[in-house]
Formats: sequence, structure tokens, C-alpha cells
Amino acid sequence: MIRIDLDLARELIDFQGSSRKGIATRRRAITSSFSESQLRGAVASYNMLAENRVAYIADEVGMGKTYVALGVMGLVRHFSPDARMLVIAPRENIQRKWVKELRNFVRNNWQVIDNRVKSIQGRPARQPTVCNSLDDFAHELAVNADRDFFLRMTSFSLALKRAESRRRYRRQMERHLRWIGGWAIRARSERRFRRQYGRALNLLIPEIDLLVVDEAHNLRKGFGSDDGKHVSNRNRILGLALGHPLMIDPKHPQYRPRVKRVLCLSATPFDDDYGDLWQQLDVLCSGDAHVGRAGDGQALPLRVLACPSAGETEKRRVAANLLLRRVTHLTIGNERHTKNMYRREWRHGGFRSFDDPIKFENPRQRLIVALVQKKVAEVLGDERFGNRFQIGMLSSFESFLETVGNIRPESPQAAESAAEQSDSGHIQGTFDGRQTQKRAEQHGADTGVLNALIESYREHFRSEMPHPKLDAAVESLASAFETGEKALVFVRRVATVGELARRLDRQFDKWVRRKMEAALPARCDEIDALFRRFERDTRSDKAAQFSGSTPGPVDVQGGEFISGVDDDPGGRENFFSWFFRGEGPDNVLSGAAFQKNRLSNIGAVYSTFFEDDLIAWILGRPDDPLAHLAAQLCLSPESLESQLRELAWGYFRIRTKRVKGYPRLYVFEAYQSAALHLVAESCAEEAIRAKEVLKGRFPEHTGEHGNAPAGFPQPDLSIGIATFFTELVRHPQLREDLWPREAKGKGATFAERLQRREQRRELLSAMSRLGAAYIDLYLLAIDEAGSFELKRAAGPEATGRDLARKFVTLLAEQRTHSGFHAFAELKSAADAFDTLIGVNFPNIPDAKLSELAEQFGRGLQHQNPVGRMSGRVSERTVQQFRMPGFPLILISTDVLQEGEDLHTFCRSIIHYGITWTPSAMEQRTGRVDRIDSLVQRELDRREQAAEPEEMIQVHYPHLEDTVERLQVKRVLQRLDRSSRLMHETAMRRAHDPRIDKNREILTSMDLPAPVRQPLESAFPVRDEWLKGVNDERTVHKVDVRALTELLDGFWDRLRWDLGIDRLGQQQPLYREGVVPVTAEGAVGLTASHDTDGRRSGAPRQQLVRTELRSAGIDGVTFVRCSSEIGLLDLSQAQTVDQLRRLQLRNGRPRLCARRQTRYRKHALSVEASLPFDLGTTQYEEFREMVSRVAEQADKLEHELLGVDSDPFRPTGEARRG
Amino acid sequence: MVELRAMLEKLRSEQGIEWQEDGAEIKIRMKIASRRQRIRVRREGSEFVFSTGVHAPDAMDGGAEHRRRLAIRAWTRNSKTELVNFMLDETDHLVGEIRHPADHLDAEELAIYLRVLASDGDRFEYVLTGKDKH
Repeated sequence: MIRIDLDLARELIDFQGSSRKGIATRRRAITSSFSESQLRGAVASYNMLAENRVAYIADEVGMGKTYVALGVMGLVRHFSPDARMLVIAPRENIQRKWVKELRNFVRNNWQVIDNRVKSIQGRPARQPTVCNSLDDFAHELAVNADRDFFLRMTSFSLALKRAESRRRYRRQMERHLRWIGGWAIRARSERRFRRQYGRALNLLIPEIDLLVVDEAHNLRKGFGSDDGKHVSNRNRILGLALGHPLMIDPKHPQYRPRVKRVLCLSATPFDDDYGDLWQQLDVLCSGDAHVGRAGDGQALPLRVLACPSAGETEKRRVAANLLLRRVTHLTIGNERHTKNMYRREWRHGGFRSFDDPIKFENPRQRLIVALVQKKVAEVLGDERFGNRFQIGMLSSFESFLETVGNIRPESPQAAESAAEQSDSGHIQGTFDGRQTQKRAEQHGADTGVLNALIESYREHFRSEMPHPKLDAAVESLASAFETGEKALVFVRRVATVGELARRLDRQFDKWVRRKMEAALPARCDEIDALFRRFERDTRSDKAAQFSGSTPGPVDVQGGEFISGVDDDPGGRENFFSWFFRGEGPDNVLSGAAFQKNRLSNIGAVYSTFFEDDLIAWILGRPDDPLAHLAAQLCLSPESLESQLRELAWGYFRIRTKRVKGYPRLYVFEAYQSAALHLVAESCAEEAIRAKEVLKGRFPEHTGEHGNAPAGFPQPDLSIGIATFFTELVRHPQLREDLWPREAKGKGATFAERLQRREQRRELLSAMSRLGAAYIDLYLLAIDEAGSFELKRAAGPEATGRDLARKFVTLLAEQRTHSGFHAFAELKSAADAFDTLIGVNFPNIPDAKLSELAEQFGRGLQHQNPVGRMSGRVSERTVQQFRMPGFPLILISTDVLQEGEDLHTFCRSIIHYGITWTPSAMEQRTGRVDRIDSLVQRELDRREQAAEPEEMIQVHYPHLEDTVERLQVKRVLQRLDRSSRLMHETAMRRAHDPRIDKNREILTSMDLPAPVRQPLESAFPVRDEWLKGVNDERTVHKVDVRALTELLDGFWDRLRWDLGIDRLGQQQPLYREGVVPVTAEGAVGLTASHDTDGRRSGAPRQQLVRTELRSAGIDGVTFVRCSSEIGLLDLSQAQTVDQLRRLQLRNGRPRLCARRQTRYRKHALSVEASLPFDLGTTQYEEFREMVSRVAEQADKLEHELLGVDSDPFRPTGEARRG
Repeated sequence: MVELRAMLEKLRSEQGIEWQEDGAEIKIRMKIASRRQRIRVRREGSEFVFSTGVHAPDAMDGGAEHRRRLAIRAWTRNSKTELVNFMLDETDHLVGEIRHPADHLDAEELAIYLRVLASDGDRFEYVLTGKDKH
């Protein structure tokens, strides 16, 4: 690798990206300076790798380390096209996120098509391959090692305690490495087995040019010594697989280090000791590396970092040649605010007023806390604990709910499977995550005594034991229902997730009841009855009563629904999931029933409620669009109606095959498309825009006519109607707030503006139907109906005009009030539209208009006011937390600690259950403190100073005068120390995750005050790391246009030469068509004609596909020709034998077999490829390849399957052999 | 073949590949890191056939069933890669092949074919046998 300079990198990467170019000027200025900073980070890291073989990106949380790393990977691949890369992410959700980000990065940020990083299709040139286990990884390596592999750390956490598990892992490995011999992985002890297994895996791994390890701090326990005692299986097997030098043994000559360069990523690379860095790099086989300053030739051994006798200054000097840390800041009131300044830390535990402790409400609370303290003290005094406890691992700190420590354990097999999937290879118990090996501590030292207390309290007082911290937290969090301010709560105990959520659900129920009573004061009795019924239902065990087993209400017209809203089963956690989602309760016009039968049913009265009258919009929204249209087209009203009916009926027949009824939504679409068609075909100036709308919004429209039956509705029920959006545009200010018009400038075409307009409309529509805003809409509908009774709601004659007007009026009223309501939710989404699309709906910009409703709908269903997460990550809940609205509160164990972005609408983080390392605490807070966060959007570059409540709020709730105070103090001290080590000199101190209760309580209970001065990185991106070659000739570019023109020319000639007549897809990089082949195997025109030009019988047909593609081979473009044979059962010996014989007899075609799991067969095809180059590829080569493939595939199809299938029918349906 | 020899000679001087004629065939030795891979070139009709050995039948265990599994493995591998055709030949050798019209082969294509054939063949051989025989 040769070092490069910034300008050369700028030729290749634009971190601002094509997808961000449409954003507002102020935001663009922010992203522009930020993208330059990203580029500097990427170039410095690349040059460090070139110089030192190792680099560590330690930017603060939320600064886009992944993108910087992707930039580094791109540079490595561009200048070393054959480089092999392996990415290890901490867990599955982040592993998949990497692949998603890689695709986005290549599409939006990589500037050149080079066939190295970016293929001519705009995708990664080397296929990203996600491996779900080490077995999977071994398999994929054997198939093709020249791909980019994405693994997760948890895959290395093999559960090896049981002999059966070890046998299973051995069998798997022997399948991939038949030649290593059974003796190689035979050990009976866990430690020896993992050594043998890791060594065996090492044999399969080829040389890795760049290893990227995300959240590498997880490896800080190191590889361990020779015997590997006290080291996790994960670290040990990972190190062995990569070829750790400590395990090199002459008896195993093929075992060797496999990694050339290592790039680590973590915002928290060490806790309070630089030695953590060495431990991580040692696992990754780089412990022996030497690192030097850019180009000065002096390299220092990395091992110094772990040397007890080395001083902090020396260690820092070594770390400075390895570590890069960019420090983020916001400019508020013209002052630079680093994170410690725009974060407001509530260190003293309380919630009500800043930095006050939690107050005890009454003597009973104080007595209970004292009693629990006494009991805990007695337990900790036991010889098992020696007056010490693990930070964050006392059950009593979180709640007094019985813990899962009492729950019957899972089967060993299930437990092991869970261990591999879990975040740390640890079976889920009382706490998520792994901090201690001691079983008693894992389940909480005080769990037993606490359970006894709870039971005793319940027996005596017939109620749950109060918990002042829990009560204070619930009271504070419940304010979210009034304010809409989101909060992210981290707990340690799994049971606390449920307990906190349950209490908050009850608070939500009270809030929603107040809201309903305020909106419908005359219906208070009915509301009361509904809530009593809800309480009965939620107490009942008969869950099936409402979970979809009952038929829907009777007043519906068929059962077809608007996409994306028909598969929510509802729930009973709170009133919202019971009443507004799923089927809802029986015999009442619940929110769920109204949603399903009035809004989402295609035949329902409000099915067009969230549509826009597009033809009226195109015509400039005249008072009477039909009259205006007739005048515009110079038609009489009767003639217009007649033409519209014919066209509408033609569309309607295409849209639905139903024979009974005319669903309102389809009729609306039919008339809208018909009217747009007439305008598009006319000479009116709106014709071009009408054509665009027609094409985008109604792709099924063909212009077909038909005689509409007499019962088919008239056009005035679909054109000139009132919907929510037609009413919204009558309120200009409200419209700009919620559905801003797309500006005409900046070169955006009408089609692009239409695309964004419809995206915004569909997002507003989905939010209003599926989230908190829906409550307001529903209450208006009930007010209009005058009852909750099922039959009393709007009948078929209703048009939706009144409800639309009322909803818009309500939104206009809410606009003048603060708090959480429909307007606030929708406005927040409208303001952050680009951000939301980027983080939550990355496929939307490329989606067709007709797919938008489904995509938004799927992402926004199943909402809950309070989200809960433990064990594994729910992508949907995470996605919804990134939206304004529900869930307002998300309670999670450590599973959400790393990797997920939760910053878009949340500024409040509550460390309810404290965690034991500064890195974990920082990672948690980092979920809401990221680039483009709510706080950044509101405060950055604002002239006015920030109010305290506008900053990021970080809570450490605890009770003063309890042992919990000790752990908060310890953690805060370590947090401050860790921060100082990153930013200024600090003292190294031995670290012990245990607290000696007696010793600590004698020292001061005072908590350290947070640092308030601006932070400066101790490891900034220094200019010397940005210097290198700047030779533009080293930038490789592919001339895609010239290549496609060449293919175009070749294909046209080929069509003539071979008589290709039935054409399939014809795209710039892709062509397909049917080639005639005689029974004798002759291909082309001559095949079907004799020498006199007469036809010599019907030829067979063979579909051939030619495609330009990149294979990640040195930037070369290939043209691949393929032709399918059919589906074959290769488990049949005679089939394989016959295929082998035919392959040898028919010119040795290149056979390709792809497993089709659905059919339990292989899809077989003949394929060939050719380097496709402007200067050297000749037509004759191209023709020869296509002819050969067609001929060989046809022969094999004929001889194997005895058929000549329709070439355009899918393989699975027509070609089963 | 004359032009092919000239192109190989150029590759010898530029990339250090070794080659020699053996009757109607040309034998090429390629270095891949610490391993080697041999490639043969012969002319069949209007085509050049570049081939490399991967797995010899005498090293196989399991007889016919094993050979079937190997054939499927080769065809599966073909579907995930470009250029090289892995298959079992008439003598049950697992081989990798690339064919190209002899009259239209140029130096760039030759260099790509040799490199891809050698590295893919060597990797497949290693995965299957752990050895470096071919």
C-alpha cells in the first residue's frame, strides 16, 4: 500500500453523498464540513494502515465511524483490487447494517465506477456475503473466497461445555476440511477443543488484506496466555482462527497468521488503561506490530501499551500513531460546545429538579428502603461475596419484582443455541450481558433475599412492595405522553423491562382516557364502560377472544385492504394495542374496527380519505374540476362523462377481477387515471405533467376503453371530492408545516418533485392511520358518528368531507398549542423528512409511487406507546423509535447498547440500571448523541443560547444514602477518568468491577462534578497523516457509456446473425432474446432454413441472456452469457451421472448449479463469460460465446428433460426435471 | 501458437511466469503467494483450452458417490464465480478450464485467464486436499 493524499481521495469519495444533495442550505453547510472531516479521517486511517499495518478509528459516538471505515475499505480495494476483506461486527443487527451501509456508500458516496469498489451496476463490485455462523463462513470460504465477508463476534462464542455440542462442531468442520483427519479436533476438554477448532478454521481462511473489527473494545480482555484460562471462547477462537502467533507450532505447518492489516473501530477503545488497546490488537494477531509516526522511520512496539513499567507519556506516544479520535461539537450561540457541554448530566439521581436526589414520598417508602438495605448488607456480608458486589448487578436497585432467576431453566440445547445468538455468549438470566463468571452474582447477589421480602410484603399488606426509584422513574417518564419528549431507558435486569413497561402502560391508559373524555365529554359513560371492559379483558387469560379469531364487524364491503395494514394482530399491553390495533374488541366501533373497515378497506367510505385529487391538482384546483376539465378539453359535460366512464371502466377491469360491487378506492383510481389520460393526450399545457402523474401513480393504466355497466359510479364521486389533503391545501400555513411544497428551483424535474410530494403524502397518511395521530382522527370520527356503536358510524352516503374538514381544523388548533398531539407528531416528521427517509426508509427514494403506501405501512404498523426490548433487537421497534410518536419510551437491556441509531427524536437517556464500564455507559448515551440528532438539528449553528432542557439529558437515577450511591460514584469517577485519558493526561489506576461496600461507605459519598471545559482530542487527525502520492493516473475508471454502446452494437448484429426474434428485457447492461436451434444443434438463422432459404421445420428455442458485470477481478468488466436448462434433482445419482456424461459429450459446457430450496432441486444453467473491453473484445468472440451457450444449453435441456420449454416461463414453474 | 508464444514470452519478462513447450502443449507455472499452480494450454479446433488440475482420482475416497458430490460442488462453485469451468473430466480428474477462440486471443485476455485460472484452481485444490500437487 502506498500512502495517498487528500486530493486523490477526494477524486474517489464524496462523503456528502448524492442522496443528501437536495437538503436545505443550512443543513448542507453542516454536512459539507462534516464530510470533509470524514474524508480526513478515512485518508489518515488508510495512511496509517499503509505505514503501520494497524489503525484504530476512535471517533466519538455517532460520528459515522462506519462510513469512514467504508471509505478506507474503498481506498484499499481501489488501489489493491485483489485485496480480500473481512468485517467483524459485534452482533447480527449491526452486521446487517454494515452490508446495508456498504451498498449505500457505494451507491451514494463512491464517485467513480471502477469495477473494483463500484460495479457498472452501481453496486459493490465484490459481493458482500453475510455469514450467520462459523460453519456458514467455512462453507462460503470453500465456495468462493474472493468475496467480502461479514461476520459477527457472537458467532465465535461457541458453547462447548457439552460433548454433544463439540461433536456437532467437529462434524461441521470435518465436512469442510475432509483432509485434516478425524484426529485433528478430538479433544475432550473445552479448552483444548477450542484450540483445535480455531486452528482448523485457520486452515480455511485465506490471506486477509484488511480486517475491520467494529466495536473492537469488546475484545479488550485479550487473547490470554498460553493456556487460555479466564479468556472467553470468543476471543480465543477468533485469535486462533486468524492465526495468533502464540499458537504457531512446527507440528502444524499450515497454521499461520492470516491478517495483513487491521482496522479497529470503537468510540470507547479503552476504559482507563491504554493496555486495553494492545489486548484487542493481540486477539487480532497484531500484538507484535510496531507503529511509527508518518514517514519518520522510528517505529515503537505496540507491546509498550501493555507494559506495566512504561509510563503514560510513552504509552500515549505509541497510541498516537495508532489511534484517531475526532471530537464532535455543536456551535450554539456562536460558542463551541463539546459533548460534555451540551449534555446535561443528572448525577444526583432525581428527576424533578435538576441534580436533586429522589425524594421519599412517605415514611413507608423510607422504611422499606432501609429494610432492603439491611437485608442486602447482610447478604453481601456472606463469605461468598466478602462485602463486595458487581456494579449494576443487585436486583434491588432496579425493582422489587421477582426475578427470572427463579424461572425454570431452558433445555441445554436451547440454552446453547441461545448462547451463540446472544450478545456475549451468555445465557439470558436475571441480567443481559456478561460481567461475572460467578453464578450467584450473575443472578444478582440479593435476588434470593429480595424474593422472600416481596412475598412476605405481599402476604401482609396485600399489595406490591413500593420501590421509590421505580415510582419516581415512572412518574417522570409518564410526562412523555403530555410532552411527546422521547426517552431511552437502559436497565440491567431483564425483569425490569417488563415491570417498567407495565407501569408506564397504566400511565398511558390514564392519559388516553383523559384525552378521550376531553374530546367526547358526552360519551364519558361509554368510555368508562370501555375501560372497564379493557381491564376485564386484560385480566382474563382468554386471549383468543380478540386475537383475530372473531369475525370482523358486519358493515364492511369485502375484505380487501390497502397494502401494509392488514396483518397487525393487536395486543393487550395497553389500551392502544387493545382498542386501536388488530381486530379490537367485539361489537364496538373501536379504533381498530374504524381503521380496518372504514379507512383501510378498499370499499369503505373513508378509503379515499388520505388520497389527493390529482386531476384537480394538475388543473390548479378549480372549484368544479369536472366543468373545468370539460372546458379545457372542449367537450360537453355529457361527452366528457361518457369518455371518462369508458376509460375508467377499462382501468377498473385491469385493477380488479371482482365481479360484484365497485370498491370506492378502485373507482376513485379509475376516474383519476381516466381524467389524467384525457389531459395527457390533449394539447393542454398540463399534458406533460398529467402524463408524468399517470405514469408514476397509475402504472397499470393502459388507456384501454370499455363499456361501463349502468351501476358503475359516476365520475363526480371520484373527481372534485374532498379528502384530507384537498382540505389541507386550503390552509396555506398548515400545509407548509405538514406537507410543504417541493421547490421548483435547483434543477429538480417535475417527476422528481412529484416523487417527493407523494413520498411526503404517503408518510403523513401512514402516520395518521397507524400512530398516535390516529387517536385524534378516530375521536373526531366518533364525535361525528355520535356513538361507539358499530352501526351508528357514517353510512355509505358519507363522503368524508366533514371528517376531513374537522381533522384539518383540529390540526390547525393544535398548531397553536405545545404538547403531544397529532399536529406535533406530523410536523416533526415533515421537518425531518430527509433524515427519516435516510435512517428508516432507505428504499423509498428508489421505490415506485405505487409501492410507497405499502413500504411506509409495513414500517409503521404494530406501534406501542412504550417499547420494550431484551434478549434480541426488534428492528421494527427501533425503526419506530426513530420516528416522532409511538413508542415515546423505549426500555431496553444492554441489547441496544451498541450499533443502533436512536437519535432522531430522542434527547433523553436514562441509565436506570447502571452498567459497569465507562465504555458501556458512553455507548448507551451515544445512541442519542449522533450526527443529525434531534439536539444537533435544533441547536447547531443557532445564534441563541440553548435552554437547559434543550440539551441531551443524561439521568443516573438512584437513591441517596444507599449502597447504590456507591456504584454511581464509582462509575462516574471512571467515566471522568476515561474521558481525561482520551483528552488529557490521566493517572492509571487498577480496575476492579467490584465495590467494597464497607470501605467505600467510609469515604465521601459526594459525586464527582462533570467536566465543563471544551474537550480537545488527544489523538486528532494530524496533517502528517494526510500526505502521500497524488497521481490521478492511479485512479481507475470504467467508461460505462462506451461499454454499453459496444454491447448495443454487438447485440444488434447478433440479432440479425442468429435470428433472435423474441426479445425479453432490453436494458443498457442487459439483453435477452430467444435463439433458434435445430435438433442437430445448429444455432441461428441458418439453423431453421435450408440452403435455398426455405424453412426446414420448426426450430427449438433457447433463451439467452447477456449481461455486463463486474466480478471484482482487477477492475475488469465481463460480459456473461447464460441460458437456463431447468430444475434438476441432483440428489439422484443417475441424474448426476447422466449430466456428467452429457457435459463431456457436448463440448464441456460450463455448468452452473444453484440450489432452489423451495423445490429441493438445483436450477441448472450453462454460462460463459468474456472480458469485455473497448480495445480488444471483438464481435466474433461475443458471437461464438452466445452461440456455444445456446447450443449447449439446448442440447442438455433436450437430452435431460426431453422438452423445449417456453423460454419466458419461470424455471420453477415450467422446467422441473 | 506463434502469437501465443510471443505473448507468454512477454508475460515471462513482465510478470515472471515460467513456461515451456511439451509436444503440442504449453506448460505454465504460476506462483500464488507461497504456492504454485500448473496450467496447460492446448489447441482444440479453433479454440485455445487453458486447463489446470485440481484433484486427481487416486486421491479420492468414497468412489462414485464421492465423485458425484465433487461434480456438484464444482458446478455450484461455477455459479458463484466468473470464467473458470470446474468439472470432472473423462478420467475423473477435477479440472478447471477456460476456452477462447484462438484467432482472437490478446495479451490482456491471456494475462487475466492465467491469473484467474491459477488462483481459483489453487484455492480449490487447497480446500479439497490441503495439498499443492498441481
